[in-house]
Amino acid sequence: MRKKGRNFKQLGDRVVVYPDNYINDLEGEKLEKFCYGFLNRGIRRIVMDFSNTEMINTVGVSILIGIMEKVRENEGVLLFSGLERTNYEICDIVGLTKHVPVFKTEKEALEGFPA
Amino acid sequence: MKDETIFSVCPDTEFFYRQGEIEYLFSRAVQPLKSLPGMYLMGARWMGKTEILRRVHQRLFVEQAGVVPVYYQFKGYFDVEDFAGDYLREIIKQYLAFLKREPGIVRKETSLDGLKKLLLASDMPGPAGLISRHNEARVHGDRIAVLRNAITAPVLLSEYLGSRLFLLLDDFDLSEGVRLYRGGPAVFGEYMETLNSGAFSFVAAGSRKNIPGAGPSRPSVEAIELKGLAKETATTMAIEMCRVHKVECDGEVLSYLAELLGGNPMYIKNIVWAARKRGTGLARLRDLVDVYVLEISDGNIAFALRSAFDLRGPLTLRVARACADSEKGFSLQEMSERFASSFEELKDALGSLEESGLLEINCGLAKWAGDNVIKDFISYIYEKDLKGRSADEAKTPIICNRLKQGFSLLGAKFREDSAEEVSMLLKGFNGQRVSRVLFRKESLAGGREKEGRKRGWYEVSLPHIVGCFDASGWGEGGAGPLILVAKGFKNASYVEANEVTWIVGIKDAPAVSVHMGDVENFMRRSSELRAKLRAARVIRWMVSSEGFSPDALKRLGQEGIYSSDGTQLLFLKDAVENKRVAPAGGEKAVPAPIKEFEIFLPVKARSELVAARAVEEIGEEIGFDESAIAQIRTALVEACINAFEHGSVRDGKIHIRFIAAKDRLAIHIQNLDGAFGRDLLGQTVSRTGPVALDKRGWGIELMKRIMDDVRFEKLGVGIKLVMVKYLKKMGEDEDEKERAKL
Repeated sequence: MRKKGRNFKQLGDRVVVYPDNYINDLEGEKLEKFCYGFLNRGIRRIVMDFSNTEMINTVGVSILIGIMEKVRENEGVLLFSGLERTNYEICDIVGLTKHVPVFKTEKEALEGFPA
Repeated sequence: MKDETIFSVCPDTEFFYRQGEIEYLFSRAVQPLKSLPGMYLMGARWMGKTEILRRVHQRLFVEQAGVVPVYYQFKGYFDVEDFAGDYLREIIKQYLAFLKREPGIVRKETSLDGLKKLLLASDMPGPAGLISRHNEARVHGDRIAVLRNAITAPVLLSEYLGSRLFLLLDDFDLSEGVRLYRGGPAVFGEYMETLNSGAFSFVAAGSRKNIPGAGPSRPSVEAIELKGLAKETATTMAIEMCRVHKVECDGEVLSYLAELLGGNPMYIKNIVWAARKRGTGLARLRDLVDVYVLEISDGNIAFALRSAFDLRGPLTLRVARACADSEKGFSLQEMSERFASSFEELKDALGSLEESGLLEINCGLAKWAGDNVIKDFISYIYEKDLKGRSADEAKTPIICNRLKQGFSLLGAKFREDSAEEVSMLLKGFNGQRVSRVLFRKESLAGGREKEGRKRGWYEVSLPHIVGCFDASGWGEGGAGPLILVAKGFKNASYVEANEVTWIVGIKDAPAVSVHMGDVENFMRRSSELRAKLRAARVIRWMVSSEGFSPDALKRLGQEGIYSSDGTQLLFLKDAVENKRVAPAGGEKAVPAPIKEFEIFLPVKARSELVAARAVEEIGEEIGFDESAIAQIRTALVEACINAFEHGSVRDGKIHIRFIAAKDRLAIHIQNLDGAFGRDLLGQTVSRTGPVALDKRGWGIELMKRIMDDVRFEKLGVGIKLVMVKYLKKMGEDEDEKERAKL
């Protein structure tokens, strides 16, 4: 499995979050904490880049759903990028991809925020 | 050694297990003369008599100086002068070669006059006088003198030298054909008189079972019977020859070969050579029988048999065939009636066959005296040359007969580790279609086309078995034959609708066949198992190497339960292994091995990653691509998490078994405290459309979406989750293509 990378990168009013290689309940909770923190500081444009993520289990997915709902409540925008095929399938099965736009790369996601 | 031997012998690597006979003959040759100066080495054709005599001669020539060895091979002769000249020349040549210690003299073609010059040059007027007397008698037309001069030569030479001769007389049967003149009286009697004179010793080798010259008025000779190699010895010989000639072989199959060929070294050698030439091995019974039938129809063995036996006459062939097929033999009267021929014609045919050693005629009864190989050879030429069948048609009954015999003999070996054998056999089921007769007690040669049967009825389509287990794992612990449970799928499609379970009862008691009580017991226990397994489709099969009683068979047939004995199992094993798909490039097909791996995970955070790592390695070994491995890994992690969540014991363990076959991976997950997923049974999660997202409960849905099959099996305690991923799907999954958007 891949090594752990940096956790986030702030770009003005946007932030890119880099989840770990295995998103289970623990990692999901860590992501939740990050995202809620950014929302509290008024940063409402969040990209989650999953390039380093090999596996997401359904507990992790359920936490991502919670994050998505929280961002929506705060009138923010959550985008996903770098999802591997299987992880995309998982998100698709639970219906997450209908509510969160998915981009191929971080760059495309950063450019994909609505005006 | 071939270059050093005086008379040509086969390579040492192809000469086996006659050292005892060689040693005995050698020791008898060098001993002082006894009251029985002669020995008769009798044995069927190609048993190694010539090799033995020549090797004894070689040893006598090289290893000692007290006895002069002379090897002489009888041939067909024009008349007595022909024989006498040849006989005398060989005796003198070898006598001179021994004295001068020059083996080259033997190998040289030298006339009698040439030998005479050599003898005179060596200051040996006595032996030279033998040649002079021979020439003189010939000039005067005195055939008797010619004969006596030649046959007494060993006596005279012994007296002259002061060392006696030891004669090694090969193909001695032919000596009876030497005539004073063409059509005249045989000279054998006089010849035997000199052999038995006691002035020298000898060993004669022939195929006749009656000792030549034996009778009340004549001294006997010591009889030494040269039989075929013992089965174990012949098998060892065959194995060694296969090793030398790099022919793939199997010990059990060669053991059958040894039995079939009666331990005849020449036959064994030719079969191995033929296998090498054809590039086939002798590891499978079918290959062996193919090579054998080719050899006896068109190979070296056929050539040798055609030369040895004159079977051209139709009547001779008919008589030979009839006697070969009859155990009790025929009288002259019976044969005359059967073949509608005159006694005279019949006598000629019988005489010819008796002389060839194919028949023994005693008290007017003719019985077969040949071996299996000659019997099959006669059968072949009878069907082909006399009945006008094609070569393939003529070979077919021989192939069937020898296959059946082979499997019957090899069937005895199925008794050991029957459960293991049957388990391995089941794991080899991979969608092959095999003959129904392997699951029914019908004649191997019969039970074929019947009116009204559809073509497919004659075949059984085997499932793709993903696992085979002892039924005790399902809480089945009844007394009686062992029961195995094999789970599989029909049509290579891993969906629930295609699932099939084979419940196999194995009777392993030596020399005891399945009886009605066993059948009743199996029926009861398999019904109980079926209920426990909740298996939709079940095939029941009883296996017994010792077979079944008639009542048991009848009952099994009525209940639709398959039955196979040891012979059928071996046929089935052969069929299953042969019907595996061959690798590309024309490589020889190898049965796909099934590997099983097991791990026990503690119920702790992230321990599912250990399983994930393991399945990555296993999936890669099977040949799954990265995407498939990721799917399997994800499904496995979900399954582990489910097992962790639903386990009732905090520090419990879960058991994961990976069953890796050539084209699929099956994963079994079970919580060892038995509490895994009781509430999962009956779950049919299926959610579609944009709905308010449910945060939990997606594990099973996920597994079912990304694996080819997911099912729960109820165990005695708790349940087990089984997931299967197939390496090649039946058709492309269009949804997968659409999902690949990244």
